[in-house]
Amino acid sequence: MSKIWGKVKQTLFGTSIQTLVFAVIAISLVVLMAFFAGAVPFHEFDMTAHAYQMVVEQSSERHPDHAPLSFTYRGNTIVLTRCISVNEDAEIEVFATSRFGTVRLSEANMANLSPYLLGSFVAVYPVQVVPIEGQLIPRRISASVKTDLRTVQSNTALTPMLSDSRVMLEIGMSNARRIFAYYGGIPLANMNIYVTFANGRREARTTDAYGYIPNVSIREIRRGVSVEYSPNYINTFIQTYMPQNARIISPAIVPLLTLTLMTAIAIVGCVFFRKMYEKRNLPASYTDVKGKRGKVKLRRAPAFVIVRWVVMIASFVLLIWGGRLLGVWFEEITIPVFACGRNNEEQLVGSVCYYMSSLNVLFTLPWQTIAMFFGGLIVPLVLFGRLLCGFVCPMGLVQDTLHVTRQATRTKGISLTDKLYARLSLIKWTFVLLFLGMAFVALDFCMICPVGVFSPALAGFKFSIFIGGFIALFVLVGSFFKQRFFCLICPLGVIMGLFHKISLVRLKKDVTACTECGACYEACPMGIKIIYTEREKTDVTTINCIMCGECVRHCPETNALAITLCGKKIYNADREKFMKANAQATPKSGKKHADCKGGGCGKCK
Amino acid sequence: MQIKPDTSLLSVEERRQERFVNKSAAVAAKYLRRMEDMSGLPDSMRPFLDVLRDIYINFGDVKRPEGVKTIGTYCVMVPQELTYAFGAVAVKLCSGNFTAFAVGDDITPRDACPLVKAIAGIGDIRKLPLYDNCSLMVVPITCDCKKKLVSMLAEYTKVHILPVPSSRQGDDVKERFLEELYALLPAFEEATGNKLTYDSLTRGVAAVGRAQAQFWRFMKFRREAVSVIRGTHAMAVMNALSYMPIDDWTDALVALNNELDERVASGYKISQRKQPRIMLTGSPVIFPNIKVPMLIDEMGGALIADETCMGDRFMYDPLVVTDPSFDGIMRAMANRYIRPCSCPTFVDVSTRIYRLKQMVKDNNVEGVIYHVLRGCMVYDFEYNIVERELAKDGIPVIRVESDYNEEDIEQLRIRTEAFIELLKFSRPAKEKK
Repeated sequence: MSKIWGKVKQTLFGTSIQTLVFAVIAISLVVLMAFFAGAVPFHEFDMTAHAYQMVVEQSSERHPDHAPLSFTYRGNTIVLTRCISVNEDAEIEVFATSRFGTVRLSEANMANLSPYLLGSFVAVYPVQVVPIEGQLIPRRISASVKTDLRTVQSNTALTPMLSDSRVMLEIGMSNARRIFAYYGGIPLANMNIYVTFANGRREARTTDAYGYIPNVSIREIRRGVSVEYSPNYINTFIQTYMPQNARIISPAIVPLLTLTLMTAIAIVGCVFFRKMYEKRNLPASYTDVKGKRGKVKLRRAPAFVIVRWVVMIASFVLLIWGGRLLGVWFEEITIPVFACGRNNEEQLVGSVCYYMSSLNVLFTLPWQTIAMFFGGLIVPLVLFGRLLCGFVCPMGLVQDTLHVTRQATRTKGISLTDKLYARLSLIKWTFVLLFLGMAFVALDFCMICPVGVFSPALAGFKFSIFIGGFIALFVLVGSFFKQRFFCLICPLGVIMGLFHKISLVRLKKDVTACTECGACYEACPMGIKIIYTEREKTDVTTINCIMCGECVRHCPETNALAITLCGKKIYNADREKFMKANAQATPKSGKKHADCKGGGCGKCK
Repeated sequence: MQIKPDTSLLSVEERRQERFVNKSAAVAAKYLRRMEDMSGLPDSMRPFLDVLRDIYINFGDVKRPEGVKTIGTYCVMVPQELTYAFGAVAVKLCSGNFTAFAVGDDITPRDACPLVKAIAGIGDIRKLPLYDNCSLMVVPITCDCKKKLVSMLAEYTKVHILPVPSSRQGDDVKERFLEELYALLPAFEEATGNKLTYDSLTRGVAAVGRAQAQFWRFMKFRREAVSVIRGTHAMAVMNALSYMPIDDWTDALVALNNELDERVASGYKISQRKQPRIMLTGSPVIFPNIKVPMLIDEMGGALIADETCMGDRFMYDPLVVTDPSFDGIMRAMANRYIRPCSCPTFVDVSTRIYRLKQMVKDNNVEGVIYHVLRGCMVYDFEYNIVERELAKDGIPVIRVESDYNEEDIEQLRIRTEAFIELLKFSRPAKEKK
């Protein structure tokens, strides 16, 4: 400790100008951090208050009978458009329905929608009396339009219902997936209705026993549908329904961009200060090396590595945007379980991460759901174990990309020793405790989760970042210098790792073939030491192993290490391939003279 | 008219030097000739034998371009990659010189090993340019003899010591060795006058990598059921590496490998009989002390692998770079030269035992000859455990103790012959099993 303090003292209270620069930057960093710490949320979205307003506009288009009104969204402005019609003076009533009850909106309300009013909006057009040729009694058409805000859709199973006598026919949405019709406050069961889609197609449908309207996809719902029901010859009720749709590029990206910028600054700063420190404290031989163009030949990327990257990228796309894309194109798809629960709650109803971190919610669910949840969790874990970490995790791709960037720039990394790994595991178990326990004290692990910073943001969902932002900065900078840094402390990884004893993907070792060269340990992002010290067991799968295959790739002994699936080798170490890469090793750059055959002759300066 | 110098006018020292030169050249010439006379000498072996002739008979230096420095190294822990990265040639100075051994015998303790005695003797005589021209000698502190050698060498040349950890437990051991490697850099810079760059380092890594790839190819020829090259010749190839720039050695080895490839294709065999497959382990076998492999060949054994520091161990383990930054390459070196090393200087014997077991398995070895140079404590200590462990697999081990002289050669011959006969006669019993 005193040694470190000595070094700090030497760095801080030296006399050169660099010290001054260092001090100024350090102090300003502290001030900056204090500024952030003052308002603990790293970035908080104003999700509710003062965010929304409603305007009523007049459209020059004449409306068809069934749609005198429509809702559209323009950023945080909800636009209620009324088309020119015969009855231009008709007074439109607008209702807001939220968890807190129903309120009729006035112009004052509309200009600044209070958070208590956010939920569903219903606009009602006065009853139109349309005479029909050849009939004595004219038709009475009651038209209304309804919209739901995203926040409402995602947080509740059923959207709020107005249940007002002025709106006899009302459309709702359940689980952000299917629409149903209510008539007079009760489900419209087994009735013939007409559904008009956004493109003008009009189809006859029959509702089911619970009022659900069959065969309407989410895609069609998002574009808006009109439901028309005539209980008798005189009355016709029409409601147009359209939920708020999310935009691909949304303000949600702002904190992510901030974080990216801060990460870049932090990384550059770290490299700069380390160089400064090393120049001062280490012998010249550590720092005084020029030129960075040379290449070191490695075993060519085997199929395993290529597959890993392809799967990682594919799963990144799938887990981050999949919820939206599949939700738009197909209807009844629930994508599994390992995506961030904050990504898209419409489809990802069974996110493991979400339920594991809020066990109190999980245990209030019906037992079938709990059973299905655990079943769906255990099956892939038994099949693949932490292979999911190495192949599927989107955070893994982010970290690996940072690692590759570092390697490409030949930047010195941080290599951990067994003692440091032991210290990190302390943080890891603390995280596990927080992960499982925070929900019981009315907190949310998502508040400190670094993944929450970018996963929902990329997917276009607003999600306020609390302390998670600080942790994410720390983790991202860490994983630049140390491959898969977050995996070392990931609590979900630990829970997945519990299944390592029974999972079908295993890491095997031929204990005699191993020369204890420790290359696997050097390559291992998780710092698993027994992989090279083990001399008895042939199975070296551990709780930490993420099956990334780095050890196998760097093992120079044929078959000394192998990854097996159901006992069958799918990837094994190969000295032959290793040596092949060596044999082809010819330096590509640097000064060479005519008769140089790959360096080492001593003539090159 | 040129006047021939009268030898009687030479000083005592000069006469001693001349005696040394004549005698050691004669011994080297004898063994070289015997090696050349052995049947099955590949034509591509020439460059290797020429190098040995140059060094040991003509007393030359390493053939290299003008102005290139040589750096003398001992043992197997000095990274060759670094030497070549500094534009210098790595020379291995561990000696097998009989005459120098006799000289060194007087100035070293009785129980010192002949290898160190020979180096001490060479230092006393000062007649070998190979040693005298080194800009720097790097001595890893592996055993007591090497440790005490340092001060002797320091009398006539620049010496840098490279402390080698005795235990490999814990990661901080590697970190310490990494620091030693970093400390090596300024010493190399001073000795060669060149600066290390990242590019030159990768060139050095590539050169050694290429050599190792060719050496692996060479090893596989020796592994095959029908041997196409004699063990003695293979040892000569490995010995020649000590005195050649690595690229020249690799090129010569490529030619040799190609010739061996042709031999395999044409079905050429060294011996028509099924010779017992023997592996050599223990103290290093250094030319001209090449008695033991030669006896194995002469007595009808097939020396198909060796686990010695002048042989396979030096070139077997590749450098595995997991992180291509400069520090990453240095780390990879610290790793490669310490962790897989089966040198008995380390406290744990298990690495070596497993290596031997794997080599027995890979090469179908029938018997192991354990070579001990008298006074080489560390190897002698490990004999018992090696014998016990290999006996579990049914592999007989014989301990052959020897010195740097020719007096015990007949004794060795009898023991080697008996061992080979034993292997032959125990074959039917093994096959029945």
